[in-house]
Amino acid sequence: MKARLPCLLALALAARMLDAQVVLYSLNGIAPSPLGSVYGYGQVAAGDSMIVRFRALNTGTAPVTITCLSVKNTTGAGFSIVNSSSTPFVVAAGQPMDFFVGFSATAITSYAATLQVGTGTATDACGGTIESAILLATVVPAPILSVAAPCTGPDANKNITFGRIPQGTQETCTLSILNPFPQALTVSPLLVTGAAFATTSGNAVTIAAGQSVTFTIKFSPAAGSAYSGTLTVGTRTYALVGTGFSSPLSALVWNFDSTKIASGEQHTLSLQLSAPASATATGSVTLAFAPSIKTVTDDATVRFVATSTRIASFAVNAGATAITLNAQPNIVFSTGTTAGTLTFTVDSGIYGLSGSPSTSVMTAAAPIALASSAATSRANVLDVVISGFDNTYSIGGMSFAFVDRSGAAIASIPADFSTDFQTFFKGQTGSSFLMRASFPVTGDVSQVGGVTVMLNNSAGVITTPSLKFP
Amino acid sequence: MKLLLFSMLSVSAWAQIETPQIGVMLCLNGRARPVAGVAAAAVVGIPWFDGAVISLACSVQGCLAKTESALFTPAGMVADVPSGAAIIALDATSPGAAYVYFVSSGALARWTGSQLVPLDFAPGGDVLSLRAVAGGFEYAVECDGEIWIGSKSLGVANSILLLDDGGALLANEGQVRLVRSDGSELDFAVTGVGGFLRMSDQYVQVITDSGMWALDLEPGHEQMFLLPGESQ
Repeated sequence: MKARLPCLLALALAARMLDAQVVLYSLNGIAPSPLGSVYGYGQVAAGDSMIVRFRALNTGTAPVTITCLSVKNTTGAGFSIVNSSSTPFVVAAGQPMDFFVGFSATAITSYAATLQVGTGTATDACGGTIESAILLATVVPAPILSVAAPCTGPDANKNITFGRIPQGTQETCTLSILNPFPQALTVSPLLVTGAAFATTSGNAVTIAAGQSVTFTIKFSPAAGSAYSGTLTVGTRTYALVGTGFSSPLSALVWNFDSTKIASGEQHTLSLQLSAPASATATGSVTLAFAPSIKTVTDDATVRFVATSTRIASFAVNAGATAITLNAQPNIVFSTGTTAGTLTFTVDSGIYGLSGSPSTSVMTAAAPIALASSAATSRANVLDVVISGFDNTYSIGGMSFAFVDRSGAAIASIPADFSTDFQTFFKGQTGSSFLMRASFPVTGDVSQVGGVTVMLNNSAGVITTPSLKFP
Repeated sequence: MKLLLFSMLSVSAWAQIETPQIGVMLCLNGRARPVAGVAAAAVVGIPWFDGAVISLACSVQGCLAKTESALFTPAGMVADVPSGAAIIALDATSPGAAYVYFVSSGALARWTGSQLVPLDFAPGGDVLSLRAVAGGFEYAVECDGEIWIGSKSLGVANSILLLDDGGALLANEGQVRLVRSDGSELDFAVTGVGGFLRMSDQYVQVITDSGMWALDLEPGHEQMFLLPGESQ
């Protein structure tokens, strides 16, 4: 007799698959298991719902049309199809049709239903070949869990939240389990899992009718990270979530090698924290540039020299105040050749930062900066070659004061090359330029001994040294 | 006469404007790359070619470079030469020409612009730098721990570059010293100098163990600045 029951079940299972083009499975996650004649939902807490995913797999070589998909409650009223494709539904050869059957009830008793999947006719959908299974569930008394501040929950998804606390500290929350039933209730198991969560409660507790018990869970994040765990209260499982964080880095101390910063320069930036870092932290520092010249949108020569970009890494060790930039004690940046504002911003990521993460320095509009100047002569042409930059982009007006070989003034000649410069700047990165101003001469060019050039821009006037013609 | 001369000047003056060129630098990976812009706001261009250059000198008249086994110009002139580093002195009086000293062999040759002509040379010490002068060349050698140009001692230095105008750059003990031909001097604080490279007539690349600097030689504008992307 003992041996016959498994045999009968085996026979029944075989019969369900015999000549059947549709075979039923239940799924635990994504792993399908062949569905026997009986499927148990187990114990379900009163008022809770439990949903199981099933699969009707077409194992044949031809399509099959599923016309019947039903759940008939035979004991109580707890089972129902909660999500499926509508029937009739054509399942291609080798393909599945998944559907979900849920259970929920409040009365403390046992429940049963029959699941049917058939391929009958339009007039008799659940006739013909039918695959079926009996679904069973038992509703058990469910205690009511409540959580006191500073924790919150449980929410609709059974999450209990411990919030964010500094790493290395701990937070204890008190939880209560109420037995609302008129008889004593044993809650088992009562378990907590998760590396950062601990409880001093036992593995089970018996609660008198209408009474409650309290217990605590301690959250102790060891590092700046998100933590999770579980709390199992009888048939219910709750998620425990909390986050540990490092104390934010203290305020930044920005150190520039000079308080006077102008265009066409390289300067050194070093960074410190106003107090030792509570943890080793890394991040980045970025450099942004906002030109003060309306016609200019950017200047690519504003950047960190070492990286040739506008971003560099930063790091600080736990207990230290000195910050390394690009793995060095400081970093050099170029101010470019455009007047504007350079803004440095530290991104410390998850470590956080006290105070402002940014600081700015401004390069003011200035007279034209000369890099070189020279005067040369060709047959009947005098050339004046000047290189430099104009961070206002307004260069153009200039005056050339020529002298003879004895140094006596010959004439001062104004010129306006504004249009030439504006055309040139349109295709440029920055305002650096090399200008060759040429003067055709009738007569003996050797009479001209030198020239001094005054160059104007919107910020002032600059004069070259006295340039000698060879 | 003056009125006639300068009435023509004022009426017909024109300007050509272009991006200033700083010169050509040698990157840490041996690529020769043009550098444009102005000091402290330089932009590095794409390498000449996909190969390593070990010696280089440039002026307004052009560049001469040496790979491990060839001497070449950007214009495409190539000559097979001894392996290893070379000291190149461009000859401003003869565009395209240069003196080339091959360190490993101790041989000196004149580059005419298209071929190498060997020269007899017995320097009497380790040649550290070379420059073309009217009618020939002069060189700096290390002898008895000091650097000498002919019979003149420049003292102790780790590196030297002879400048065309008669001056010199000397590196020693955390500084680079610019010695003008008139005897005036300017010092720049920089450590770990391993050598100099002539980027152009106006700029010299200062190679250090922590990065690449450029020195602006223009009188009145002398300054050092870091070259982009090549420094710590």
